[in-house]
Amino acid sequence: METHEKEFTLIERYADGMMADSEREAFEQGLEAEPELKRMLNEYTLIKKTYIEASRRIELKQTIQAAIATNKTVRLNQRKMWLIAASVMLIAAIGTLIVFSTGTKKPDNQFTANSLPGEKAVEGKQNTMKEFGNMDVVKLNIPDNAFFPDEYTYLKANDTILFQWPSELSQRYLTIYNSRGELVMKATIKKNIKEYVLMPGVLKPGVYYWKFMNDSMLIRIRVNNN
Amino acid sequence: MGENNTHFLSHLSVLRYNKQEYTEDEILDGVRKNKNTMYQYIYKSYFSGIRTMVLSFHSMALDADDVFQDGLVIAALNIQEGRFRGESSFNTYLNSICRNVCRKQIERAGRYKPSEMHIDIAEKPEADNEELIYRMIQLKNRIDEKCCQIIDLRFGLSHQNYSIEPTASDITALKFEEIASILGIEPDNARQRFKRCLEKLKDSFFNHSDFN
Repeated sequence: METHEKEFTLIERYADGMMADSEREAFEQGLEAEPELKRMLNEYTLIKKTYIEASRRIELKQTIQAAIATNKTVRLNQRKMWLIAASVMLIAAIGTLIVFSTGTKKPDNQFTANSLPGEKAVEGKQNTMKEFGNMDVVKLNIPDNAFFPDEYTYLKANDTILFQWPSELSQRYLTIYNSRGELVMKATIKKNIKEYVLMPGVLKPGVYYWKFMNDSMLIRIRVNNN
Repeated sequence: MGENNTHFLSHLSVLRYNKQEYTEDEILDGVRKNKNTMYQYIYKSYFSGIRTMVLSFHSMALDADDVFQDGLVIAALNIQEGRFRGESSFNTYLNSICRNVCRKQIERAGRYKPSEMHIDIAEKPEADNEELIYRMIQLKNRIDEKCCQIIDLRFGLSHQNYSIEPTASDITALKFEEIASILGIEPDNARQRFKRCLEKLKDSFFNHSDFN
């Protein structure tokens, strides 16, 4: 142990450059004669050099990690900002779609001024179509210049109702009244259009009168339960 | 303005306004001076390419962030010590270093067996330097604090941590008398503690055992 202690001290002094010139020369000459001393010196030198290099790398890596972490925080905040902006735009787009899509239904939902607020004159489900629900069949059977559905036509609540009128008429409005004389629907008809389709379930079961405006005769139809 | 201006202008950089580009010389200068902004720029500019390269190895042993950081450390130290000759662009240089880091890590993951890790200085004087440094980094992360402290002081590291005036040479070993005064112990205790810690470190290093 004492020998090693002595050798350790010599090695340290030599490695630290603390020996006088003559002492250093004697030490270097002695290395050739003492392989164990030489091995210990090589080990010490390697350990020191590697330890210093490792420490520098650890410190530099910590610096780089801190710099990258700052960068990642900035990028994360930027991404959050984009996500928020995209969400706001999406909500605005959805809101716009909802507003405009509900707006286009107005012609089918017009009521008279006297109808109670919130009262629905029409309701029902959009079920499978029967009888008049098949528009192709309806078209084939109807003469061109007739009013359809005609007087006392019985329809079901889940029927698709095709309204037709003589082609020479050029009035602008299709109106439907209930049995109390209340206007339940008013549709604007474009020029040269000779028919109007009312989807199933729009009219609740009951008696209705429909009219193509400026024609004086009301046509009575009845909608029954299924 | 200082390095914190990136925070104030970050909203502009979203729109690619104020996006800075550096020349090769500016990059090398920034690395030599250890500038945080330059490391951030290097990360932003080159990490995606490095990540693609790392993924191309298809190895679970590799982590792109880790490879990038290790590679950048080696590149930065080489530049700071004048070992980078400038024969290629910084990106090419960094890429090549990271590729070597990947190969080393895959090799390490594939062959780790304690019996193969023994180093005998007499028989293998040309032991891979990177491997030795890697092993020392692992050991230093496990070393106990007191040993780390005294070895750092004895080898001339971490002057700022111990409130010591840095000398002209950044790495100057302290004498045991100086170390003793910093740690508040006797010089002989300092010597014995250093010797004990160094022996443990040597033993772990050359025999790849855990540092206990």
